Amino acid sequence: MNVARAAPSAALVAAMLALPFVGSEYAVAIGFELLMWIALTQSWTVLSGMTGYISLGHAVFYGLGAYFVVLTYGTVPLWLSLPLAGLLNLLFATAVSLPVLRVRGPYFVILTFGLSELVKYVVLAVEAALGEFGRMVFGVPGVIALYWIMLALAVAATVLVELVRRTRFGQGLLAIREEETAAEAMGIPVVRYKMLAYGLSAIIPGMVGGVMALRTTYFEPQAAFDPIVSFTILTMAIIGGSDDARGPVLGTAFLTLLSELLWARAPEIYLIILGVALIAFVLLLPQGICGWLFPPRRPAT
Amino acid sequence: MTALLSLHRVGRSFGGLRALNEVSLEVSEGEVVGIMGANGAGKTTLFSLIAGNLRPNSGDILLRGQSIVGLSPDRICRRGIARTFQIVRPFGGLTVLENVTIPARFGSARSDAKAARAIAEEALRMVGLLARRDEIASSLTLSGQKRLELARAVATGAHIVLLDEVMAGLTATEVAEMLAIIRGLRERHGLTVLIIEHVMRALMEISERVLVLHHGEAIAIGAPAAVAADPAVLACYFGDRA
Repeated sequence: MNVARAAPSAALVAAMLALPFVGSEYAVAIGFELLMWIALTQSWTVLSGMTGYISLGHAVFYGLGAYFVVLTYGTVPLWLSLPLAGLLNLLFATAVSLPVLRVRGPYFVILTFGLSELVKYVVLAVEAALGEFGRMVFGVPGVIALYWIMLALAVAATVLVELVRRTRFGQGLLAIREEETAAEAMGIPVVRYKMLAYGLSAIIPGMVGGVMALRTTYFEPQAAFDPIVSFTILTMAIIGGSDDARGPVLGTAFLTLLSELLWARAPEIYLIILGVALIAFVLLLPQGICGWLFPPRRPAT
Repeated sequence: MTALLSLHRVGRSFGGLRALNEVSLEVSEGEVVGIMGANGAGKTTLFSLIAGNLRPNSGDILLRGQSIVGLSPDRICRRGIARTFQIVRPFGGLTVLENVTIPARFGSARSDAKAARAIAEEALRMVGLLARRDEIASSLTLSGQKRLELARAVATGAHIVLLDEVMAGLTATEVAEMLAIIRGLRERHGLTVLIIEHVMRALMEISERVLVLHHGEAIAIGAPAAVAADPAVLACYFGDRA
């Protein structure tokens, strides 16, 4: 099983490594986009896939990371400011996790969404007070350099999910998803575990946001904290399936490539087609592409 | 000799409703204490207070002389007290084996993955579910799920188990099997058992002492035969004949 699973992953990483050398500028741009969504969706899985607490507010980490990197650009070197953006998000997530994780189900979904919007408007207000209406970043690294960073983040996020899944901690998260009260009664420190999962799921999105700010060379709160980021992460996880690290990769690839194709060929109706595709996935493949391709090996009763 | 578990005048209210009022109980090592009472008498509340799901408003709960009031349920589990739930709470999407491996890894046993598996298999064998270990937990019958609850509590490595109506809804044959299972587990692991049960005959049969709750008050405690003859208990159950 390990070889069968490791080989495609290694092939995929090799292909993404080769892309800047053999691919066109357009291909690299698509590859960059793919890697970004893989990094975001895998990170989200650590919390929402494993514990069942569905976050609809991961844009907050993306936006905060972007803000931090833009603010410190030029004073703090990138090799330091990116990890710091991750750390900042870990701290922020841990700080807000206690109130946020008190609720579950739809309340948690709404609360995470609300938190992201709240932070967006706070940043907007701060920027307005400072007289800033969008910040330009100058002298950013080239696309290829940023591509390598994004590749590293996507691999790191995927490895993180796989590691968490294999540990005792991961098993505890799964128990929380299945039955939180029973999990707690069996000695699982549910509060600590949920906080840790929330914190871990925030680190890489913060770094991704920082890289994206450099890619767009521009920071504007409405765009950096765009709820579309949160929605897209969730959509990709649903389409791919989040019970397995392969799911987010498949979902991301499917949605990114489909949008590219449709956007170029049917610009007027491409969002309609995407909407129909999402509904079809939820109805027909609730376990996602991954659950459909690789059904969990479980003997029938 | 100090009691393994002692409750000192434990009270709990919900708003204006007194669910439990100054209930005291001393449980010694290896004992089986049955808890009876009508619906709403406070039986499950008592378990929730011991297991940490609820906090008492008054009184103290001591495990080996140390207060456990205010500890979270997971801490209390790791101190060696495990409970089952009246309404079963399996990890529905996981296999029967996974359901029992998790408590073995996290409870007071805190075993590594390999040892946890061995503990889980042994617990499943004791409750007669070993052959079903690869099935999804939610596919078990009620009787199966009740036995799974029991196996999970034991797999935590607890020395005190709180069994909340593990026989409710079972057929007479299944009740007899469950009694045999509890006896077997007790013998093998030297468990101390607190058991809530509506199946009166079963409760009287397995308990060494019985605590009777009525509207949150402990109205009788003692050997099953003595309790069954207690005028206060009879008055509660059959009405006052005077």
